[in-house]
Amino acid sequence: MTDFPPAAKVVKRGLAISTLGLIGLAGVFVLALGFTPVEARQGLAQKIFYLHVPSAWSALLAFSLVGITSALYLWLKDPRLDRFAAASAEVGVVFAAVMLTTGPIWAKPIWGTWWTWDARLTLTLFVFFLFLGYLALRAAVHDAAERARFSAVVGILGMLLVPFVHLSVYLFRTLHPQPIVLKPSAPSLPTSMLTTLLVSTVVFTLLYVGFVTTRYGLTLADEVREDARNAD
Amino acid sequence: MPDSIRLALAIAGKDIRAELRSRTALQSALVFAALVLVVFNFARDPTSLAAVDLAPSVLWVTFALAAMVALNRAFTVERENSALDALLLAPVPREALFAGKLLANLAFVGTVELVTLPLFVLFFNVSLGHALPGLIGVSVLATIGFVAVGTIFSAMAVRTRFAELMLPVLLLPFMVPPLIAAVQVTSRLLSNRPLSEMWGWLRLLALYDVVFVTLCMMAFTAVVDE
Amino acid sequence: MPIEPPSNGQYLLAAYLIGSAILLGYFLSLWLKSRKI
Repeated sequence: MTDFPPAAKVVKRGLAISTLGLIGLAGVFVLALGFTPVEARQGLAQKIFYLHVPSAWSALLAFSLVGITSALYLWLKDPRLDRFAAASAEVGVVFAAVMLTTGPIWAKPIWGTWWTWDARLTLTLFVFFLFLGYLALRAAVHDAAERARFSAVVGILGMLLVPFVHLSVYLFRTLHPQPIVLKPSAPSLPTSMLTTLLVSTVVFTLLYVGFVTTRYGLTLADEVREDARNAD
Repeated sequence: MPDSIRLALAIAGKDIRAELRSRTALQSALVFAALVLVVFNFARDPTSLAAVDLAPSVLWVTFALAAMVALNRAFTVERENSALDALLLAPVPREALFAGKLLANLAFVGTVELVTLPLFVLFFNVSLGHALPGLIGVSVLATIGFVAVGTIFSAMAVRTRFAELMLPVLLLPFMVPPLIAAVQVTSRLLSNRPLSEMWGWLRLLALYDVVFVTLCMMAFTAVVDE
Repeated sequence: MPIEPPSNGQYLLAAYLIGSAILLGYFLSLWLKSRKI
């Protein structure tokens, strides 16, 4: 661990990346509002898309990484993996919250309903609850090693639950003719919209990296402080 | 590995005998299930929704909640008697330990379901008859799914401060796919639909069981060992 | 005749406000925690 940068540096780096991400976010707003055409049939509300879809991407990225690092932790027992998983879970909840709030606000004017049990929304809701359970468990276990092991098990099981939720939604929809919901037709995106979406996705990925780095650094700093206190 | 199987059965047998003596988990879960059914009955508007439409959902929500009560009590009792610690000191393969606990929990929850079913028929006026064997089949499949994940999570939850709250928070998302499948199959069974309409859901249940029993069995050691 | 897009700007405003509030709020909480180091 001697070549590992001290916690404060990690935090500083994380905050810098996050700030960059937030500036990028402002840029996305300008891009979406000022330079991207308004969709004729859906109106201004369609632009929520540029916020909603990338946040879903970040939430799912966070979730997959929690699952993968959990599996790696049980195999390699490296505490850094556990620390990363915890950070990714917390950041994932934030992005899932953005997705779950912007989603219904987008759906209401476009689809005519606040909520629909389609695959993407349902899966995100599940991922949200799995994250919450994961974080609640971590808060309830005090022994660090036990907490790491328990969280890792939940992380792996959670990752494997997602395909089953997806299957259930799929089966449900194929066997149940759904009521006609006003769904906007999805033609291929004009280039300007695609560009804005891609820029937003990059910004959201940057935000993910920045937030996780900061969170990781903060946890590391807490642990160092705890160790110093216990050593006295 | 007949040894492991014998071990698992022995562990299951011990747990079942202990529960039959004290009956704490069984009693709590049974009373709870009956109460839930009564509440559901009063919670619906008989003029707007036919009992038969609501019946599968009511039955399975009741089963799911009762399973949680049973799982929680089973592990809490175990913990109070420190019986698990003694078992862990012995060179028992953790997979066998999990299998034993799983079988015992299946017996508990299965019993609760078996007793709840006639109450359900009584309160909701459903005619089972022809649907009974299918119902038992889907109940076995779905219960295995609930209990496999429930066993490992209750082993974790019981080591935390808010065990009663922790188990539902962790377990409920995992109960949803088997729950959906069970409700779908039950609803079709009660309306006498052909097997072809249930096949997809039954396969989902079977796949879920295989995946999660295996996974939880492998992960059990991470929960009980230091 | 050109299609008139529906006037639903208030949803756009709400979504962007809430979305950025959540992200900014989280960033702020991280930053405040970092000051204690």
